[in-house]
Amino acid sequence: MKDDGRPLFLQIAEQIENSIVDGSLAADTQVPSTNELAAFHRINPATAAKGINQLVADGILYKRRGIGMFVATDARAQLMERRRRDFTRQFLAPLMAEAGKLGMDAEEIKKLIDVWEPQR
Amino acid sequence: MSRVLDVVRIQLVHWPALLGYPLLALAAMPLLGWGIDVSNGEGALGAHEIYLLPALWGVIAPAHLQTMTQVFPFTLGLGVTRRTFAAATALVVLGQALFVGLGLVALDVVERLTGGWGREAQIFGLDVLGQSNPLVLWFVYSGPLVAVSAIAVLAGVVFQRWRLTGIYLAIFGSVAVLVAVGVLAKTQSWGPAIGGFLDGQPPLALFTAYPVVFALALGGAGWLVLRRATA
Amino acid sequence: MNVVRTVGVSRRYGPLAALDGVSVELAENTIHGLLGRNGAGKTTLMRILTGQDFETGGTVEVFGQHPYENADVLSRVCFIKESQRYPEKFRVKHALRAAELLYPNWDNAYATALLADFAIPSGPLLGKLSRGQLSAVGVIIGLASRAPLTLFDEPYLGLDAVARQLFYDRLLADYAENPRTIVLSTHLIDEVSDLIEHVVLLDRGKVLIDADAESLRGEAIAVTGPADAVERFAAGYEELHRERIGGSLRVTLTGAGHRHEPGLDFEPVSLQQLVVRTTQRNGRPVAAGKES
Repeated sequence: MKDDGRPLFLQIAEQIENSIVDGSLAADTQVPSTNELAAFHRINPATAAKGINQLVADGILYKRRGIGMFVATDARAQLMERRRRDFTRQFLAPLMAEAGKLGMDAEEIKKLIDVWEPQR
Repeated sequence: MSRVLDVVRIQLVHWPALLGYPLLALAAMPLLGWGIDVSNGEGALGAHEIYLLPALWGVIAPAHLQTMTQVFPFTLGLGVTRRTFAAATALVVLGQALFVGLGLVALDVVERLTGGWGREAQIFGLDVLGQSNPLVLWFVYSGPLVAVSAIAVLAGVVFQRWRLTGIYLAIFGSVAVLVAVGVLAKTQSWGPAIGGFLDGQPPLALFTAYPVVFALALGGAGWLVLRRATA
Repeated sequence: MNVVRTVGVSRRYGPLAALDGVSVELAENTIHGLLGRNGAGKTTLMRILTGQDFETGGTVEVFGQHPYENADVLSRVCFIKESQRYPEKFRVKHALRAAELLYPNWDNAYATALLADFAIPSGPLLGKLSRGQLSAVGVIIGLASRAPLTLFDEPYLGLDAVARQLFYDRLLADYAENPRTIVLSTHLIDEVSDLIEHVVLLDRGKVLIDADAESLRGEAIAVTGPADAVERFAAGYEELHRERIGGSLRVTLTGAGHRHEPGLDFEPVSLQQLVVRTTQRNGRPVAAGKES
């Protein structure tokens, strides 16, 4: 796992969230078991379980007894909503800080956004 | 008890050294005896004894050293208590002595049937062992083997605990004790008394009872040393 | 439930204390990392826990009882050490057979599969195996014993990186299916940092760190930047280490959490780095402002 100082279980949770957001884990499909996740990421099963439990507590996953963990029906919607709320803090603030360092004002930024196109 | 038997099975992985080589040595003795007679010259010798049996002790001892210095640390690492190992060792020593003793009884029978290997040679039927029935003879043959094994086991345990220093101390100590006893025997004229006493003892006492008591004493000493030995 | 509990355990050899007042508790069904330099006391502690050596002071409890000469406790403990010596005339299959006889939970099919995984034939004399193969045999016995308390004392030092990764993978997989208490002692901290749940760091016979692995993960950070700014930032926190280059200063701090400050660079510190710096600091007096 990446060594960015954040707890491992949160990194696990985030990876599953990313899969839900980009569509590779569809609503009401089963997610890998804690043992599978532990083996795949080469981490302790207890850590993997903690990550899964965090997602269950957040309402992103739900448990079907005797079968496993599943993606909540509205999981993607929930995650999108949360990430939109975080967007300003996570992306906009650093962008404006960097712009400030370089002496660019809001007008210049807006112009850059208007002409910007994603790279192929 | 089953754990003791498990350790016996583990010790018996060394069956070639414990049982195989002694049997081979036994089988070779008639040949060795013949070689000795030949090298001593021709001529009618009449009934004569050849003291080859003590050579057996040199074949029996190394296996027990190996058990104490190699198998003991190995099983200690796998969770076998020293108590269990000691009990298993005692069983193996006893079993080996009885097994080899049986071989000796068998060869004694062959010796008598062949009239002393065709030339009245006594390798197995030594006079001092007495003329006894096979069962008593079995114990008479086995007794000294137990004592010799006990010495080897004790040496192995001393080495495990105190390494070479311990061995040197043990040897010097034993020699010192023997010399002291010898000096005392001479100056106090114990010699005749001891000799007279020993003469009157039946083979079963001389070769079974005393050696076994001796072995038990060494075993007790060995246990005291083993208790605090580490692998 | 604690499988192991020691209170103030000491092991002295004359004036030298291999262990000095060690008090730890190891919880059940957890992978514990026992870390520290050579001679820190890791092996001594493990030998005392497994009844092979004796403490000179303190209390030792394994499964609630004292382990010395305790068959009930020891049949539930498997200790694989780095210096494992086998009887020279034993073959691989004999060593495995011995373990099979002594460990109630032994799984022969699993052992056979592991032999194949590590490419160890069962025929050869143990005295003829290479160092790596001997280490592999030790590791296989440790895994297949399924003993409720299994201790590995750097047995994988002889294993190359590929074999080590195989060991970690097999360990994790089997631990997930058959939970038990595992104690791993190692120098290769980064390799196992994702596996272990509890960290005990020993140095010169004493416990320096005894904490949950997760909480240690974000515990220390390295702050780099212009010397003055870094000094100001570092003022309130415990310093583990500092390095200077030109006008820049890099300080390793604990307790600073996830604070951020413009103009300063923040890097996470790996478990290995945390262990190294903590041990180094233990070796010399701490004085604020003193450079290493």
